[in-house]
Amino acid sequence: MNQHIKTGHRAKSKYEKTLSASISKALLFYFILLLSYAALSKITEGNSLYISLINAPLFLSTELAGFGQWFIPITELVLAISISFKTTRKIGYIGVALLFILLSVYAGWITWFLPNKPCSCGGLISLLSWKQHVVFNLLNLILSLIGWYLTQRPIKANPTTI
Amino acid sequence: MKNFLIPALAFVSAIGMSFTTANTKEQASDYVLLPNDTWRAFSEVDCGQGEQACQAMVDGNGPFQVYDEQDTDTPKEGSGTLIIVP
Repeated sequence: MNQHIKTGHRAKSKYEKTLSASISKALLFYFILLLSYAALSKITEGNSLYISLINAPLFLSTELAGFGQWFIPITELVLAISISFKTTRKIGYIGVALLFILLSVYAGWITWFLPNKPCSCGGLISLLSWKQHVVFNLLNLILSLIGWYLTQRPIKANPTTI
Repeated sequence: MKNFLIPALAFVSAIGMSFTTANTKEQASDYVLLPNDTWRAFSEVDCGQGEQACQAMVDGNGPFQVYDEQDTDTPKEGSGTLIIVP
């Protein structure tokens, strides 16, 4: 009977481990900074998010815009906190990826399907055009997926005989 | 504790950045629709009293109709004085 040794992942070299740990830390810092800054600046700017939501082509009622004024920054803060802890980091990165999918779709819809584009007044990246917004969101989507991938703990080599 | 160093640093940086940039942003309340179909926001302008169209020169271009919201159904009216938006 042939014997095979089954391993989950091939053993990583020291260099690979250091590189992936560094990228993982850099992404962690970047996303916490990005999300918490986005959330806090929305809160400290007062009602500018509310005005943006009312003017956005989403046909929101004043009640919904009022709800979104708090729901959006709180969601961003929750995501920033969730990726801060090892135990919730994986699910946090999935949440971040979903957020950037939504933002990419929204920015893409405005860029290519809307005749009159709303201004991206206020907010984190008010100097970007809508096309640049799409690229920025897609880039963040890719980075969040890399972060999610790097968060997955490698399966330790566990030799088993079949 | 060591594991929380990076998140803590990121949070502190974000708090600092958000408070330093919060007051420098323009509170948008009036808008014009630019020829490239993009809304441009600026601080509320005084169009005066009257029923004439309120128009503004924006960044040296225009004049453009001023709107209360990013909606062409909300044109602003005033005395007819041309507003200059830097």
